[in-house]
Amino acid sequence: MTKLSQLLAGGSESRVRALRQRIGALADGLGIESAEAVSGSALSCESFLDGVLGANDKSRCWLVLSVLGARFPVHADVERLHRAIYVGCRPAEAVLSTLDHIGVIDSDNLRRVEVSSGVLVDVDHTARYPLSTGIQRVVREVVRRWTEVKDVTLVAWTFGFDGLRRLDAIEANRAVGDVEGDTLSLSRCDEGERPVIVPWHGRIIVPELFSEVARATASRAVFEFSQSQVGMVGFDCVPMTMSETTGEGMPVGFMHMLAAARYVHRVAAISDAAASEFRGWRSMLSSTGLLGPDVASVPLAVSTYNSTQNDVDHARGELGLGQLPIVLAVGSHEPRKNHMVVLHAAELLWRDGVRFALAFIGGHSWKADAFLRRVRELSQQGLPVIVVERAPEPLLWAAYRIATVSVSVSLQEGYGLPVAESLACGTPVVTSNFGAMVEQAVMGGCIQVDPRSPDAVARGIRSVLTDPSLRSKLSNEALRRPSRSWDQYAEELWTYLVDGVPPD
Amino acid sequence: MSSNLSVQLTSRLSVILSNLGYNHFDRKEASRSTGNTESPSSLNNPQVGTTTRPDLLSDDLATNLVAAINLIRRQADESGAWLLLAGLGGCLPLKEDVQELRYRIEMKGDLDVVEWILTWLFSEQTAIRQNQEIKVVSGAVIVDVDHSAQSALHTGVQRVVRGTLPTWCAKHTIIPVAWDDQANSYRQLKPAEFRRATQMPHSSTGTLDEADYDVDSGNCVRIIPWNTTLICLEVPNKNSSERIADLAELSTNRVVLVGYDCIPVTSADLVTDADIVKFASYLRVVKHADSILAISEAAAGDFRGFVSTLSTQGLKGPTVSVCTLPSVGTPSEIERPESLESLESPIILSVGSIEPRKNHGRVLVACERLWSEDIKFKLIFVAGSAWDQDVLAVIERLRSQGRPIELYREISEEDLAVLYCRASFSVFLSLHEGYGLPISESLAYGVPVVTSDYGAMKEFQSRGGVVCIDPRNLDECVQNLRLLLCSQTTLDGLRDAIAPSSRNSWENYADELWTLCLRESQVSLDYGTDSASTGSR
Repeated sequence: MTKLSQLLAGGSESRVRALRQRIGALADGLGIESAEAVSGSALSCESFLDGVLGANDKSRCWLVLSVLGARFPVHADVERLHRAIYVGCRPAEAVLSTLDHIGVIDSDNLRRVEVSSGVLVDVDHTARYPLSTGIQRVVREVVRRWTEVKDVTLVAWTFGFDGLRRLDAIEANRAVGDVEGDTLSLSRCDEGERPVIVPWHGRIIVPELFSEVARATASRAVFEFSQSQVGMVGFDCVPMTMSETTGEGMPVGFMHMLAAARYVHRVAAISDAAASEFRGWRSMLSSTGLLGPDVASVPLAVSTYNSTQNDVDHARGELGLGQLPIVLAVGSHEPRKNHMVVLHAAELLWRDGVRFALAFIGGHSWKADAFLRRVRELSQQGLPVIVVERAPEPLLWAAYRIATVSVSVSLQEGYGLPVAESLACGTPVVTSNFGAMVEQAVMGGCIQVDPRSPDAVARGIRSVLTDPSLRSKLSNEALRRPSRSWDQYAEELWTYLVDGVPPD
Repeated sequence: MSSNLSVQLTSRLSVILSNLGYNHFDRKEASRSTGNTESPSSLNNPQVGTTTRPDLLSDDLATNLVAAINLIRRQADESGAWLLLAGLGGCLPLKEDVQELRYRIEMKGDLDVVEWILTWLFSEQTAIRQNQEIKVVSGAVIVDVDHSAQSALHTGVQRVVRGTLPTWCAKHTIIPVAWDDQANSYRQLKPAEFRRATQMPHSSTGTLDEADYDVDSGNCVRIIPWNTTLICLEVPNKNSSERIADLAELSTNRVVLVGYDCIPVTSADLVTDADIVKFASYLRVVKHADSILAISEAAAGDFRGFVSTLSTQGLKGPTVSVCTLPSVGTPSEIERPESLESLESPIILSVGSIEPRKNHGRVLVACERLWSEDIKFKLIFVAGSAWDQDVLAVIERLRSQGRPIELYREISEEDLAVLYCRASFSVFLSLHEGYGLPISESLAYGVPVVTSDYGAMKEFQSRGGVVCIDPRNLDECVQNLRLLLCSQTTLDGLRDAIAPSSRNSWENYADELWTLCLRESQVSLDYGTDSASTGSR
């Protein structure tokens, strides 16, 4: 077994320096006067560790391993250390043998460590990938506001998902800002430069989905042992409730995220529907002897974009749909969005002589072969249907404005962003008669239909297309809906997740 | 061959038509129908032949196909389209194909539909090439026992199958089925599979006799359920789950599941990734099933939690009720030693596979602590499978230090009975269970159990003789084991407190399960037809 004294005496100067820095950080984090342990002999370091772990507290086991290893342990590592001490191992020796088992003793890891009791916001995915999915748009709106008015530290994971660290300049920009013109596929942050941040009696907020198994596994131990208040945003539980509509690997990552979420304190669901999914899952936890998080609904805000007259004038031309009334469907092409039924309904209407053009805006598709094939068939028959994979913001918002009606008949939505966005532009929406979509519909501007029935969807679209008075009534309802700003959302999210005050 | 195939398809179609309620009146309706339909003779148009098989399209076949298409066109739901594909292809069709057919029937002409069907019939999943016999079984009770019929394993789920089927086969008419090798269709069991699915093996954890097990299942009749009650006694694998889910959603069959647990949803850290993938797929079946019969209150709670999430999809989900497993494992003629003092040292017995979920690691730590206090006892593990390498390493280390630990991988029911009779008490501190068979078994032998204080395990507390503790708390574990090892009075008190189970036989369980399975069924409980008895005797 490697002795601490050997490490301190025999290691290279840089390793000894790194180790001493970590011991100092550990002492600081625990509020212990560290001068002796840091400057003193190995002997005093060992008795310092014996003292820290004297009560054999699992959280302290996690802290000691995290700080001395500059690498977060997983649950099993913490148990290993705790059990070794429990059966009579001397703490300082048990720590070293556990670090050895994890593989950090012989590594050339020279990271510095910072123990933090502040508010850490984990934006790993949003900061590292220049994507702009619905989730990442939410994260950016929130984080931009929080960084301006709150005392927060934005963090991402190391490449091996074994520690948190600060963002570099590119990542920080991505986390809060636009990603337009950002061409890097993945950030190459130089991690050696950045200390590992170890949360301890702090606050941790995860505003994004984290479905990488390694990230979920490390997060689980952080949530369980770091003595921090942990809050996350709950978007939906689709990989559990509708695995048939997700990619193959998604359920595995998502279930591991749920395993970590057992140790979260608060989940801010983006709608009542999303809250009911997380509550259903939480009620299943009684079989595990764990309580799980408090779940509350903090509904998202809706962005609007002030289209210029120019945007609107050019949209028709860009979509290439002539002067026909437009039926618009926004969203990725995936089974959950139920676009096959939209096509079927449109075909029924065309057959009946109803005149309109159907426009799909959205990319990022999967399991979309049948959809794209059907679109091709219909186009070849000369029917006015188009798919725009990538629409810049001005075109998207102009399309909402020039459309006669939107159709958003998903089989499940966490929130129903395309419904809310269309309504914000005053364009009525034909939407599904359940879940989050009903939460949107009850505020006005919508026709609710059974999304599994092409006939019902067709009837809904037809009623708006062919009845101008209905269309203007719905449009007026839509424009009178109470607006909800990102400032409000960001503030309510903070109040619940950080201050711990549940929404009304 | 092709004209044979044509004759075969024509006869399959008449079975389908009669199951769809086709009669003379419909025949007239069908021939009068207008709109998208073409007359049957136009189907012999040579242009069909470019992609399909014009040689197959005898007049009879074409007439029957068009009749079926017209019947389905008038249907409000997708069940007819499901049956048409299932009954022609001899496989359980997937939703995307059923919906595609339904769409074409509604929007396209008969010619297009027939061409599409014939193309689909020659896809990989159907049984068309194997010249397979297909039986559309209507109004029966079909029981999916795939794994128990084909595997020698005898863990929790297989015990339920092998405990239930003998009673059902004796008292009712059922059709036990397995999946074909590609997991596309149900098929009859072979005689050897039937024996395997209905007989308890001799060893508690060991293997069955492989001698008469003939692997070739190619000749078994494919079974297409229609208006049946389909009971899944097992958790189907991923591919089967997709087809059962689509059957449950689209066809007229009622689907009833025995609900074991939802461990992968709440304890992903304790299972393999393959378990998660399989279970996520199984939840599709749950979503569209009619009824779940959970093996414990805790398991029922898990399934109810899942069902409560379904309103966001506009779905009602299945009804969930409880049918608790029986407490079996009756001590036969084995005599308990007169007093425990006559043994060298007390025995703590731990039955259950060595995997992270079973939490053996903490039991070992607690025992290590107690041994270091000079308390004398022996720890015996009985584990059918053992793959938690960390725990195995600890066992190895402690043994090398001279600690009395025994691990039995394969053991007969008789030997297990002997161990139970010699044990002071058993310990089962699992982190998550759907039921907890080893607790039930231990109590049946009159042996007290230390187990976890939540979920299904806690439900045994009312039986008496059960000490429930926090399985994550080492101190609690050490204190309670110490107490039971050192205080004979406490142990005797626990032994005396064990009440006999109100349900003590598999027959009893099978009877209640049968009643609950058929509770909401329109099918008469015992209908008895020729097709129903196939393969079961």
